[in-house]
Amino acid sequence: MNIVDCTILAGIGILTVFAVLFVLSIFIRLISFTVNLQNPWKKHAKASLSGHGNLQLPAIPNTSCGLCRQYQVDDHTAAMVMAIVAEEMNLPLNEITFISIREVCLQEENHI
Amino acid sequence: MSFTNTMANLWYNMGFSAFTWQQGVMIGISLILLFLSIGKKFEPFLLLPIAFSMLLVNLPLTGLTQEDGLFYYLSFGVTANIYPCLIFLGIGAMTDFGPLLANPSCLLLGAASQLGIYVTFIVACFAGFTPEEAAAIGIIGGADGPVTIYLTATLANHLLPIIAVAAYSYMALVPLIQPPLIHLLTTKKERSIQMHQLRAVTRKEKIIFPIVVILFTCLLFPAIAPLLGMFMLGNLLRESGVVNRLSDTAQNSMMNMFTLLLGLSIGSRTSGNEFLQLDTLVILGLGLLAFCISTIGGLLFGKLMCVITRGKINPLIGSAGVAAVPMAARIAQVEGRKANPTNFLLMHAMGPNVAGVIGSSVAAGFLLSIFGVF
Repeated sequence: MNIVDCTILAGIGILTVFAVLFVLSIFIRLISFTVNLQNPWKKHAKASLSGHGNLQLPAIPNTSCGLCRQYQVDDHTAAMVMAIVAEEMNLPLNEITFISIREVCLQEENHI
Repeated sequence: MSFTNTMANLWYNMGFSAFTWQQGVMIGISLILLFLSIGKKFEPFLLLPIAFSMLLVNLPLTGLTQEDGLFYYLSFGVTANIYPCLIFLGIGAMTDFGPLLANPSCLLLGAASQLGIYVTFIVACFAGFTPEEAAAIGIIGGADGPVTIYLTATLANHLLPIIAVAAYSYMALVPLIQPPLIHLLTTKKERSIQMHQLRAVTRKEKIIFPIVVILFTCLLFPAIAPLLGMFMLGNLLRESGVVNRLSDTAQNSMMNMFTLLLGLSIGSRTSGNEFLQLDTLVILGLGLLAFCISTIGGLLFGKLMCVITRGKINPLIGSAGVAAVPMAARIAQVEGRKANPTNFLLMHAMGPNVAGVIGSSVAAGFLLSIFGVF
């Protein structure tokens, strides 16, 4: 096999890998779409997300990770809270969505 | 029987009488590997048994690799591709496809990270290796131990010990190999990009995914069915939730047992006469090239995706497309945190990481199909 043949073979090889994995990504989207079509959890989650969106809470810059907002809570405490919740729920962290973590002070508790 | 004859027989049956310099060098290498595995904790689960059986087989007159020797029977599991497949069953049981299912575009990063396999294939052919040998050398770039062993045992069995040692050594050296390439190819601004939290993935999706992958990929490349089939079976054991005992066994006891057997078998193939050749150095060099190009491929594709998505994807997760699970994902996390202390990339990087496992299997399936082994 000469160098030209090797290059052609390698080119076809990498294109094949891309094509196969691209098709798999489409399959994943189709599976997700089909499964979530009749998933009541999603509607519930959307509703709860929009509910949280209406809360007027102060934004603290550079203390959030992704969509999980931290209010007066440092990273270390937030990570501890996440770990405790995961432990209590007996679920891995990647299966739990944290929308926000906020410190509840004693005064607020008394009001509640 | 005279005293002289007795002493002569005793001498000829001693290891010292048959000791060669090649065996001395190999014992030296095995001691270095033992130091790396115990002292530095570099891939100790595999390097330790490899190093110790390397030490054993290079002791003369032990008969360990002869036809009725212990390693003769143990290494049958490698030549018949039994151990890599069963180890893949365990890896499958330990793998969470959640991050990949939540962000399917990660699969393309996994594909880009196979670039090193094919570039090295061309270079190895140019360096005078046969196409089968070149394919086996190139697969080191996939950074996936069982896939590397599976392909090499099938296409170029005589190169198995060198390629296996190279592959696992480079996987252990990911924390040293990847960061300089990451810093070379990405800016601090790119590395500090925060990614949105992944969506929740349902159990149904996780159960359907391995079945779909198997149906599709094994119809395309039947040659890879034993390996990928076991991987997806392991994952189904985990995600089905109805066979927890089997999943637990696959993840722990079985995985440990076959890792030990695989390590011993590979080490037993490293006798001095076969291992100490110029080709060994060339293969080690080509393996490093494959690994670096795969990382570069992933990073550059990550940059492309970053541009296309207008900064929603951190290019760092592209470097995790090499299948060294979970080490490559950890490197992405560490480098992301260095650039931006509030950055949490680990789960995002696990997507391309597990995509890399599928990608390297597909690449191996392609090469096996082309070279007409099955």
